[in-house]
Amino acid sequence: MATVEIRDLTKIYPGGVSAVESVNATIGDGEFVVLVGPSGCGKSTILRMIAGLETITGGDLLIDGARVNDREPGERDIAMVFQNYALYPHMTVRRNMEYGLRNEGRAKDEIARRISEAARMLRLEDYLDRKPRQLSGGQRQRVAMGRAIVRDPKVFLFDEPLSNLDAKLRTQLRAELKALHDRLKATFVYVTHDQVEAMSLADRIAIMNAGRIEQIGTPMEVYQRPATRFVADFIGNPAMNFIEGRLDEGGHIKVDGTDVAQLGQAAPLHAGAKVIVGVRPEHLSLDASDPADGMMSLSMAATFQEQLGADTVIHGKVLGTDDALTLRLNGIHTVTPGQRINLGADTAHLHFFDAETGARLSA
Amino acid sequence: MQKRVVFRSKSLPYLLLAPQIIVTVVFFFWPAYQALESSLFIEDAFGFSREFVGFDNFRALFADDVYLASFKVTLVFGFSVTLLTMGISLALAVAADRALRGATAYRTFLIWPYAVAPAIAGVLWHFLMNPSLGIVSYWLDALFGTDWNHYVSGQQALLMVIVAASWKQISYNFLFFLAGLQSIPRSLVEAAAIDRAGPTRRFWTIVFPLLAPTTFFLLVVNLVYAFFDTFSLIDATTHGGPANATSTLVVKVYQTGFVGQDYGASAAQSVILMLIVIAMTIVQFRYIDRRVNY
Repeated sequence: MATVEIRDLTKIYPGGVSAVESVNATIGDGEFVVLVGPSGCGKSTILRMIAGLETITGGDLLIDGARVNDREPGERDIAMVFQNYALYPHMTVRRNMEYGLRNEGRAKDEIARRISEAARMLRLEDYLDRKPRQLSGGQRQRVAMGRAIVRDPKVFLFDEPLSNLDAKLRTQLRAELKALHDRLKATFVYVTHDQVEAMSLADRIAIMNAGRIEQIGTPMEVYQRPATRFVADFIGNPAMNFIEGRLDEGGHIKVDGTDVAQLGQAAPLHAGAKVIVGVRPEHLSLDASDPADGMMSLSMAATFQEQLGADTVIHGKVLGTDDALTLRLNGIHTVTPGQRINLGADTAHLHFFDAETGARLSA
Repeated sequence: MQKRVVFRSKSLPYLLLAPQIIVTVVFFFWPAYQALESSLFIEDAFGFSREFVGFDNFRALFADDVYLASFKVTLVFGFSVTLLTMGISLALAVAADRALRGATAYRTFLIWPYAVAPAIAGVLWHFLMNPSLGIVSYWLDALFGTDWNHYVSGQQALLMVIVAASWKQISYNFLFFLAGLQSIPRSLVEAAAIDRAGPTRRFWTIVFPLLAPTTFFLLVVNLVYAFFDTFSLIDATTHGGPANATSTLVVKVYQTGFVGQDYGASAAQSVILMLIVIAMTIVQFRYIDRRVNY
């Protein structure tokens, strides 16, 4: 149980490639924080720096208030679960889980007690004397978690632990992982590129892009008030629609000549500036008969649909433009290519971003 | 689905195999047969007459102290070379594996000795250690006061051929060890580091066990090399001397047959060598596949 604090954490690889640039974050005791972002955004590098597997080029890393930049991985009291499990192939499941405890010089009966406890928790009792190669992917991943649990570390680190598993198993292990966190009440730092995994597991999500954290917040915060266009695009499936608009003298945002919203006085933009209007596919509706107050109306030319059973996702373009538009409707719907659909969206569900910087504009 | 190549003409496959079969028969089976045959005869030095003696040649060998001593020399030589060369190669490979960046240049330098012919390697060390001219023997004298003279001291001569033979084989071992080390996933070593194992413990509990297939393969290869492949090196440096101190089984075959002109006894020694090679090959084939899968 511990807090993790990173201050201006920076990683520059020899050769000048900068992987992480001045990242700040505080992870509370018992918190489940997920670092999410596209590949190469630096999320794994941060995790590996916390673990001590990568040297820290700049900034400070504090675990439980103590600066641990220069401590060996083994001295940081952390445990890590790797994407490829990293089980020792020549040792049995029991030996794998014992390895860390033996290195710590624990008493035999304590080791036995901890192993049986963890094996029971993870339903591994029948596999303790098998070698990793005799186990399925899901079982291997549970052994990897068991190896972390028996150590009873201050912080658990997970590096894309579920991405080698098939979809069904992933969903199942996700639930187990969440239950495990509730039970252990330990600090979890979890890296993934899968936003669904991030949304379903995290207490707080840190969305990363190009070596920086774009936003940290609860899943609902990042969904409802994305701080940047990147976050808005990354979180949510299907992804948010973006339509270009312009700001007029009165602070109104116009799309295609139609007034869609009034931006507050604080807007740092001058008249005529480009603004990106974002709206999620699930917030678009078909009842656009009357452009009443508080509604934005919009027309789309459909191209094709994906019928998912519970929902239908319709893909197309904003009428008269090349901007892609996606619409998600409950139930089963059918469209013909080229069909014109009139749509409406509650302006409360619109997001505005500076077209230049991608930053969120007020509201 | 396995694709099978079908030859229309029945003679073509045999024709394609012929060169390899001819080489094998002429250079392996024929001499082997001749050795088997002559080991049962006593022949005069000029090859005019010979007499069938059954296993007398073998009986004489095992009653000969010089021959038995050469067995001992071979074992000492073989195991010393194997241990020395594998130990040094493993240490170098571990160092190269750590220094990832410099590895290519480092690796290239370490491979060079393998390109040197055994006789030349032998002569090179012969010069280095020459009692009156050699730089190494000069250093030994200057640093430790050792009076180096492998022309006189059997122990020193044996030590010299062991060092020379090991030096030559380091490159080969190094390559295999390095490949073995690089095939161990990095995350395993990282997981062990997080599991509080220090560098030494990580090596002996994780890396070394995972290298076992490579180590076992090299063990057999090095023993075979030391037992059978070092003739030219020893012959070029010490001729098996002084007083047979460096006379391994292979050197003895040559001396008995080509220097002593005792073809029957030499052939009998070859047959014994043949049996040893066969035994070692069987060991290698039986165990290596089993050990590879951990």
